[in-house]
Amino acid sequence: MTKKSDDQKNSKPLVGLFITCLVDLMRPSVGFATVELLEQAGCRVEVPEEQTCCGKPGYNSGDLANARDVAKRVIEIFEPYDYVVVPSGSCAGMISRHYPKLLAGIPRWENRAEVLAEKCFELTGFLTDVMGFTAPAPLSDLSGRTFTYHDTCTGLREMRVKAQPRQLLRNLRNVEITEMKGTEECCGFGGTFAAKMPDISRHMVDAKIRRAEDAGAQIILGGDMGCLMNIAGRMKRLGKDIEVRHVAEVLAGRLDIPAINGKGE
Amino acid sequence: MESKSSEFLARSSEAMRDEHLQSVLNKLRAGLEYKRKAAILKIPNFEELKEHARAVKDHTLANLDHYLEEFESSVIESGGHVHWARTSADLNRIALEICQKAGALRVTKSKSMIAEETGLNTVLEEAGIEVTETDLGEYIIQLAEEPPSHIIGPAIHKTKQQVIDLFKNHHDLGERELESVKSIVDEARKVLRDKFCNADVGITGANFLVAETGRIGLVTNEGNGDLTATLPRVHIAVASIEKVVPTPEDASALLRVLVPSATGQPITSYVSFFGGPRKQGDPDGPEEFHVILLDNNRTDMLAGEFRDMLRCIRCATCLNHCPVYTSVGGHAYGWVYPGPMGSVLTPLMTGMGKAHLLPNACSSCGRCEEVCPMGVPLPDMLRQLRTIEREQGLTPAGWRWGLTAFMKLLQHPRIYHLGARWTTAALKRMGKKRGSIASIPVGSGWTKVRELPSPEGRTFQDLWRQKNRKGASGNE
Amino acid sequence: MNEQDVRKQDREKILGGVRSAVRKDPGHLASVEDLAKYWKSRPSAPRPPVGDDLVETFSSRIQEFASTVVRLDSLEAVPRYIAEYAGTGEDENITLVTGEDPRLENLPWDTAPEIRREVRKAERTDNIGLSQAFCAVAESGSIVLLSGKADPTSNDFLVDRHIILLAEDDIVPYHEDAWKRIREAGSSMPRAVNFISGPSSTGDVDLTLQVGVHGPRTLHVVIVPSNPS
Repeated sequence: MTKKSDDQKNSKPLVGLFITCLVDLMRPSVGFATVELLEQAGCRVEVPEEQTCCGKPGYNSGDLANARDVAKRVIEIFEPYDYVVVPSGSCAGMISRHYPKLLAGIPRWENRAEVLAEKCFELTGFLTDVMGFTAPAPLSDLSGRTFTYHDTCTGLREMRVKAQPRQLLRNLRNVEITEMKGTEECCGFGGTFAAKMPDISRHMVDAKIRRAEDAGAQIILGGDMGCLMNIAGRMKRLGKDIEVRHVAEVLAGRLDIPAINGKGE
Repeated sequence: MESKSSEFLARSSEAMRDEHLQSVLNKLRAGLEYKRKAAILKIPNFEELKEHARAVKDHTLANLDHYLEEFESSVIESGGHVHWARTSADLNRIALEICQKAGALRVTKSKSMIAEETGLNTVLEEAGIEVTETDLGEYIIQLAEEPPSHIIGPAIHKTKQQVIDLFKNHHDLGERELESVKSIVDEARKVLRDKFCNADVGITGANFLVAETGRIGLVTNEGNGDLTATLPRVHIAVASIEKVVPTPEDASALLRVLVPSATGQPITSYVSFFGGPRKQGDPDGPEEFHVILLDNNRTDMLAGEFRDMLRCIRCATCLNHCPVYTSVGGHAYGWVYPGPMGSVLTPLMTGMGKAHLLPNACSSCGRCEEVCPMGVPLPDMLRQLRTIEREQGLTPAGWRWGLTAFMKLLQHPRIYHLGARWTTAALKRMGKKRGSIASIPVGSGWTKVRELPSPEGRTFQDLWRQKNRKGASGNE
Repeated sequence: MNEQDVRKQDREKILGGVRSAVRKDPGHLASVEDLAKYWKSRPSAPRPPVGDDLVETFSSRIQEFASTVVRLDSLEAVPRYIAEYAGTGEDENITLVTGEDPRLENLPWDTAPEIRREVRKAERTDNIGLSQAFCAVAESGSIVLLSGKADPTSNDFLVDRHIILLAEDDIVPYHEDAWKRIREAGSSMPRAVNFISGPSSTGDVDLTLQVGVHGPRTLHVVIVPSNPS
């Protein structure tokens, strides 16, 4: 390698990809789409092997002791990076909004949590707000179908993600979102809530699906696998066929992968 | 009031099957959400007003001892009486004593969540006193013998036809037919006028207790509170200790965020400040004025991690914006306060034992905190209550151990990744045919109402390692 | 222990609980002097913008919800105007209930002989009441009325139709300004201070807004010049 390319390489920010347990387990395609987008935006990406999950399920259920231990691990693993990017508003919110609360008052850790919080981003927020990522012309034209967008709660309220995915979809893939009513309302996922109170959760997700149908959507997008699995799973149970997809995949132009509520063999 | 919060799941399922209720809740959600938003858009510095309101309340709470004593001496100075009630039973006893001393046979009441909290009506009625609720919503549910389902619209769960049927059963309508909302309201006006004019004692709540002036503030659209505070011989105001504000100007500052948040109005038709008995030369007003201050665990809240909850000014906007409340309605919660604020207050006031499900009736969506004009961190408090639930061993064992095991596993990456690899492969096989899995053994609540979508079959970590290894060998 | 002691004890227990809860709060001001200092340096409350034309702002805001407003050129025109407003068109007498307010007393009632003015506290069957506003607030479109001989509280809540006379100069921008006027007006607070911004209404049936539940079904504000020359 020449010295020049070394310099170039060093000027690129080094991103630690926090893959999230659900993407890791259920939908690796989202992870690869994320890496592709980050690289296109001019980042170097690493995926620390030691990572597991942000610990939100335990935190939200009152297991603070274990949640603290998990948080400390995540901090140790990710603090060497310039940025931590997460293809999920929920896990990004856990790291950047809740870790500092969780570790408040613990010497050394409080500060480390705050430092990590500052450099942790949800994917579309990072691409837009930090990298200023735009394409001179759309990379492909996916405008043939009707897309709607579900603003996932934590992405919207904890990570301030609202315009960014819409802007990227327009810019990269010529996709204009057809907004449904109540796009900022919860889909009924809520982590363990979906399994603890399934009937109420069903009531909420049915409202979401009704509204997507009313908007004439063919594809529902969102930035959180949990919410998307909830909507997709309910859609499948109801025998409805609006496709549910993660925004990262569409941004990467990957409409060829089966939807989350895809058909079997 | 007796708590039925332990029946939350059964009651909420029933509520979601009730078509009438669902139509009302849909209307509530769409209507009030829109009205609030429109009202706030008209106020360019609403955020600033919110911040100030919050600062007023924080200062008052931090000096609550001082302002409570100031309020007490101001009331006494204007010729009124202040009574201190540590518990619901204390408040009910004191109110009954005042009524009995006044020889009261008939009492009118304007809406008071505190009286709902203590179950005051039952106590007065058992002593042979006729109690009439005069807020139309409260009057409707009194006829229906039901608790309120919303803290500012107690009867919102009733459809128009249900109200007409209630009036038919309880009023002497003769040949008259009720049809329109106007005819219902006119009928109530006629009946309640009699009650107002013949009452011996009027009992009101209070939105504010003004320390400097010894006045209570009432915020209503109907004007029933004003008649209740003016016509009877005795006026009793019941209020909890955190309702105190230093000055009338502070009440005005809270009002600026309270009303738009509550109803989407810039202000209600009536905002009134009452205090003391009628003055010399006054042609009307009560001969006696009493305030009963209720604690009911609020000093504990003040001392502990739930102090921020005492900033709540009962605007109910967290109810109107809560996806769980607007799915199941207020009665599912089983006590006086429903929705997010109720899911915090109920366990703190009635005990965790009966109410521990309520903090779980939350998808952590954060809307309540987003719309709360007083910046009460409701989702954090609900989470904290779930922590207490766990500490007290009230979390169902399956959940408790399952999650603990999961959280431990997260700290052992090698075993975790092995498990993930195995799980995703197994799930892929299970869902091969349908593209999804209809039933899973762990967390079966999930598949009760929805499928588990099939995974792609390999973990990202696995594929990433493989790709990078290939990439590395390709470079060699 | 007698009853009074028990009560005293409850008071002490609550206040004691409050004291120990707030003692260590960083915002707790231990002494009266500290509190006084706090009040001296406390910044004034932020307020929503109100236009320069207070009469205009007041009128448009109170009319946003079901109230009506009229402006008259002179105070002398008031009795005649009320006769027209309240009359049925036939030659019937109009009973008008008012408090013992010298400002109302001095109006030229002889110009409206069909009005039978009754100076007293309103009763449940009274139809029309007239009050003069103590002041009004532009910010929220609110009339401020004070209890007393000049305007018994019953008169504001029992009549079917409430007419309120308001002098232009009595419109102030903010609630704070109204409180300032009230403080300056008398040595002590009146028993009742009412901010009235519309007729009695309810949304309790079917979430439908309906006017005229308990109090006045209509609220009509008559704005008059302050200095009748």
